[in-house]
Amino acid sequence: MVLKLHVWGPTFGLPSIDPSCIATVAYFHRFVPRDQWTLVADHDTALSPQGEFPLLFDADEKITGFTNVVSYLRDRYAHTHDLDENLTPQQQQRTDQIALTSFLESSAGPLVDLYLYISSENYNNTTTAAYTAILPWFANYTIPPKRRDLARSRTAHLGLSSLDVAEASEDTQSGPGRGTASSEYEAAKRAAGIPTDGRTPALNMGRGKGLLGSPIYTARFKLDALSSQLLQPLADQLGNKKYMFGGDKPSGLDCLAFGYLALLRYAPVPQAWVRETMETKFPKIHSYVGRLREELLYNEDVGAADVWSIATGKAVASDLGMQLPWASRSPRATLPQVLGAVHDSVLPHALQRDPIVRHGTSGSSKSQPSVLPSPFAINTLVTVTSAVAVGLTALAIHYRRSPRDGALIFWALRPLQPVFEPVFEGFGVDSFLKQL
Amino acid sequence: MTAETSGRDDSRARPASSRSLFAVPTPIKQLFDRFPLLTYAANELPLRAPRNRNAHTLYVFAAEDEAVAGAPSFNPACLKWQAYLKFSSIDFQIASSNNHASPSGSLPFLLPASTEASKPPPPVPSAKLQRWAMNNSTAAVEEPGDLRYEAYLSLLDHRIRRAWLYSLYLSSNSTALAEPLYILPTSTNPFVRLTIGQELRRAAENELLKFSAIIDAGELYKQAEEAFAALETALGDNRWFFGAEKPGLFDASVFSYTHLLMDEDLGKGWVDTRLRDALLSRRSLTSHRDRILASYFPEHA
Repeated sequence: MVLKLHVWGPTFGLPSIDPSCIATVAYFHRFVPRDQWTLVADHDTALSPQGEFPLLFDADEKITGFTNVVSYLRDRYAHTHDLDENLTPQQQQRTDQIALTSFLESSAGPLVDLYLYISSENYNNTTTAAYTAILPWFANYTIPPKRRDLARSRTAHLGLSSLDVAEASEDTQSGPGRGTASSEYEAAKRAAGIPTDGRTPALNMGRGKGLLGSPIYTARFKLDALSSQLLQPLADQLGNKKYMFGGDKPSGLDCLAFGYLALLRYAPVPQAWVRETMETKFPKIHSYVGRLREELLYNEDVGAADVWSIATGKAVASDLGMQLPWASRSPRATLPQVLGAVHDSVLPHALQRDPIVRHGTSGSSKSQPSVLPSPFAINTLVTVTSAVAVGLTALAIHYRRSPRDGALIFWALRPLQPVFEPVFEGFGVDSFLKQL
Repeated sequence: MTAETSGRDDSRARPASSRSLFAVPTPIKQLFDRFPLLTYAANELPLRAPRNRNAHTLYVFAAEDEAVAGAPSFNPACLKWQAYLKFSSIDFQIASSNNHASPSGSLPFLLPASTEASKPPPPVPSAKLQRWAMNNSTAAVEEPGDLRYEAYLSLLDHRIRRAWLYSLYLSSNSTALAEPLYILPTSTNPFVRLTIGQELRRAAENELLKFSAIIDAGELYKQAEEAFAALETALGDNRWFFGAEKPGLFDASVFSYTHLLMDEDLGKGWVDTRLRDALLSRRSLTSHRDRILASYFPEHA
């Protein structure tokens, strides 16, 4: 049995750039013997049935997501390694674990998004550089912006888009540096369509002045509140215990918490508001993360360059003295991947694939007919309308090419045409009647 | 001469003193005395004008006739606050509305009773309803300060909500539930209905795609099932969540989903019953819902 785990590549000395990948690696490293699994730094999510990492290959089975991988291991290999075995007797703890897992995903996820992707200073200085080290050249044009867009949509409801670059440029417009070359450059950038949230500069006149004027400070109060919303319940749950649920062994929840908190603590970002909150207000959480890093990963500082050379098959993990069982990814043709990247980034949104929806079997065969016009009715209507339009156009073109004398509408009365001549002379009615 | 004329003037001026120069001549006055021929009754207020300004009104998604009867709303977010206000023993009525009417862009919102007609109080959006209810209630609900409160709330707000979104808008329920409840009442034009239907579907899809690259029904339902199991254990044998004396906001949140899932007559009836079945097997959650329905919505139990 060799389990093969695919994750996003390593950054900041941590085994991955994605929280749930870090959590899964930590879980494996702690609970699965080293010779029973290999780790692959990957970037091609097309491998995964869910379109995301971590992805576990066990012979023919593919499992994605931290919780799924953990429960798969528990079901399949319960005897050899189950980290949650000390929990099973207490039903209460088990459900607390489900609840806390959901809490971590729903409140730490947006925080990581804001910290690494939305804040333009952090994104431009740290995150893009981290991605450059773990992605092939062509993927750098698609994957980081895509993940940033996803982060934007996930955090839109928090109203913190002021951390974004567009908003920052707005400040320079109304601020002291107005009229300089750099502000003109920023204005040009705005004009080029970098999205803004549509606020007029006039409303911002009060901002941009004084110590608290810059967007990072105005957002700071909100960010601190958000960090506390995540860290306070975790600190309450942790209490004075060594792990989330006490005992002397970390649980799956500790791994997941480590995945999120380690990214927040160790990422060397210029605007380190989460780390500062953690250090000043929640020293217990701060030391808990440090303790877990030692416990779960033996404090190893994973080098992205080393892992890259292993993944591309230029080196072997044991030669570099790495603790994690990194392996090379199976070689795939570069051209289709480049084409895929081009397809993703160049094609307009409307032409791209629809999201994949797996409905599964609903168990009942009955269905309720819709009252709305069916696609068939709509298609028929569109077809008929366009046929009529094409017909009229063709008639018009034909008439333009070979124009007839007289009005088109009287064409059917052509034999009577001479009759109309006197009409224009003023005695039309009589002669017309005579003709009849 | 002057005296004579002045005397004559006086004699003429006497009747004129009651009828000044600008008085209406008699025949015309007689004509106009017949007007108005018919006095119409005062116009009624527009249909949408608020009727009872002296009562708090909660604007929710509901059918017109059900809103008058105070029936539970068919939208979880609205039902949650409807139930919470009932728990806080606040006297209020509900009105059928839609998102366009709301100052915050989403229902529910509450128009407090106005004491002076000239200065109506500002509407209360759902984010501020809890504080408003605490300030205006005689029997304010105390929220339990349980450590696990936030964690269990995230189960409802994420796992169960996502499964609900899928089940209502994307699964085969969409024609049986979403269509009669949300799409048909908005317009009678088939093309407008079609567009609204597609927009709703797209919005639900986008919401689900934020959290996974692929929408997998099995995965969503599995997570919701886990969440129901966790909530069931958290409730245990207690009457209300976290061992409270009275139902609170958390009970209202749970009730908003459990009631709608257990309501057989919702829309045109459930077609895809996977989410509903996951709930029906949870005994204490179902009796928790029945308990709330019996004590706070007795006429609809």
